Amino acid sequence: MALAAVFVLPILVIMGGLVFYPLAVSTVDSFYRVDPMRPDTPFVGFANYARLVTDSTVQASWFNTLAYVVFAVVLETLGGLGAALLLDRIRHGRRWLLAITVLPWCLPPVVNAIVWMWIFNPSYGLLNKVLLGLGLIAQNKVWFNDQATALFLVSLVHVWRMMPLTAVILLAALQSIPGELYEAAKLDGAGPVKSFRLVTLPLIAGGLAIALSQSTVFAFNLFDEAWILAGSSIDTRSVIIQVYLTAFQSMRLSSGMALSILAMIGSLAVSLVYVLKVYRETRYD
Amino acid sequence: MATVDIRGLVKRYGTHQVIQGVDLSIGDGEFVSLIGASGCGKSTLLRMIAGLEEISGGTITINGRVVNAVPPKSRDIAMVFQNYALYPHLTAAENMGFSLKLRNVPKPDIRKAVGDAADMLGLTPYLGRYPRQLSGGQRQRVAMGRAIVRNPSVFLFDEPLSNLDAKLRVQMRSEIKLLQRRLGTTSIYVTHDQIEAMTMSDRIVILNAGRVEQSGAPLDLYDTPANLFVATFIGSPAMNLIEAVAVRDEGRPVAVTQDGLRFGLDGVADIREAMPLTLGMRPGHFDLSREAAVGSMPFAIDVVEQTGAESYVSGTLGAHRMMIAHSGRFATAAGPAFVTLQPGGLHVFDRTTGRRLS
Repeated sequence: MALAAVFVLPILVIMGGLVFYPLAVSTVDSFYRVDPMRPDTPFVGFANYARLVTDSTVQASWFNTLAYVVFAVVLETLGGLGAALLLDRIRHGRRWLLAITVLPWCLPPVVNAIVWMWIFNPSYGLLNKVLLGLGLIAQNKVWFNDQATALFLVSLVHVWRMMPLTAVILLAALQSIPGELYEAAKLDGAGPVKSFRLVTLPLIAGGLAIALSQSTVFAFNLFDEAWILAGSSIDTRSVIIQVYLTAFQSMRLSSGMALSILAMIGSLAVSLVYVLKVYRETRYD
Repeated sequence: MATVDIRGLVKRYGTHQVIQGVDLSIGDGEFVSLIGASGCGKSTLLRMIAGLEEISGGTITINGRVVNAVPPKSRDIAMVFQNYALYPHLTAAENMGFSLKLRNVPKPDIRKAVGDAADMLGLTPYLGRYPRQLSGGQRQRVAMGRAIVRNPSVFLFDEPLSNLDAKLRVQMRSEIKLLQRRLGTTSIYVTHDQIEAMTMSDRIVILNAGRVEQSGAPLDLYDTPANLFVATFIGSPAMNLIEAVAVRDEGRPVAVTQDGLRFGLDGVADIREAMPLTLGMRPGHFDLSREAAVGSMPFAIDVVEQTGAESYVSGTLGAHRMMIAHSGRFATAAGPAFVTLQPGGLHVFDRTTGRRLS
């Protein structure tokens, strides 16, 4: 018993101290008015939440985050699956290609965003140079003037960084499928498309659900890319940026906590759908 | 129902040639085993027939149609894999019906075909289970069912029993044989287990380093092996071999070993004076006794292994180590004894070419 407790203690302390205690405190505080600029911390019930629902700035940030999630999940999953399928076919030098593939993921998000900021720069950026050179645009464009373009470009920078993770997760899933199954499918009469749909896809469902969940959670928590590329611009402001601005710029701490709790519930809810609908445990033994 | 005809078949990986010109004709409904040591090319040959390996040279003809360029699914064959290769995300019934589903066969027809095969294999209670919920033997049966449901012209088996325990292997051996006889489907069976090959096949093809060493009925291979490789490969315990030289003794050909043992070579063709020979004697073709008899040779026993029905007696005959299989029990341990080679128990091979002289 005592030994068991010793083994369980570290995870209890770490998870409790770093996850559950802060979560509990934030949840409780979100029902009070915690504001260093004002006296007392009275209980306000759902007032913080009610204000968030009606606040148009917050609504805009929800819309932006939703756009990030859709772009990121779709692009990371399709791109990551494509990359994983290619890597799975390569017999020689796969280790090196894999190392190159995960490189963007290893970059600190801020560094990654700054690199792309230079690429998108209206006057000396690479993107304008290339498009001008190809004759696709007539003059330099300010990319972040248009909200749709801005949201897409911020997503792209995020996807560039996070897609390798999806690719690695799916590659691992693909490699766990015995080659004999594909041979059996070939003999059974499945072409490449049916073999992918009826054999590959169901067998990587577990990895796919994990990949989708992490894409969603990270896109929900998008901060660095939008902040570096466009600062507090309302066009690209994500929910987490809004949390930061509310809590630490406007000093309405409890309001920020309420918003962060909503963001957490949002990303958990979407991930839950993947786990219930996509995830399938497949054992080969 | 189909015949399979293989002509001058060659498989190369780069410069390495693993199948070196195999010719083989398999009759309609025949059960043929391909047997040989690891790396002899037997699995490669089977996979070439299945269409899973490209053909580097020669032709494969199934039922009169050259299939070199025909994709696996159109060759009208079904294969049972060594590790079964069942789809882990599909139930036993879905696994068995998978090929029919891909061909857009109507659902009731699939259900009937799967049900019939399951009946035949005793799988009916397990149709709703996933492979991981089945025992090794049941998985093996599902893999067989998957092949049967397609009603192919040819069954290909790639060491299907090697993952089962010894007892189950013996049971499945006769089940597969019975099933094949009932369905009458041409079958090609790869194994490294000579007992499986001997007991199941109409014909055995022995492969060595990508070539056919001999092809024939199981007992023919046992009784008249064409060369030394076949002689030592078939039969357990393996044939005893001793080296000798042909001489003439009073006008009759005799094989003499270095330590002076003499074996008459009457009736053996193509014997030349001073020809180097290898003599083969199956362990079971000796009579063992404590007393000397006419024509018996002294045999010094050192180990007796009892298996119950048979005793494996090791010892030395002259200067040669020999194994003798004595039917029944041979109670005494080490010591002197006498052996007599039974009539017709001598196999004579040309030591230079390894070929049988008869």
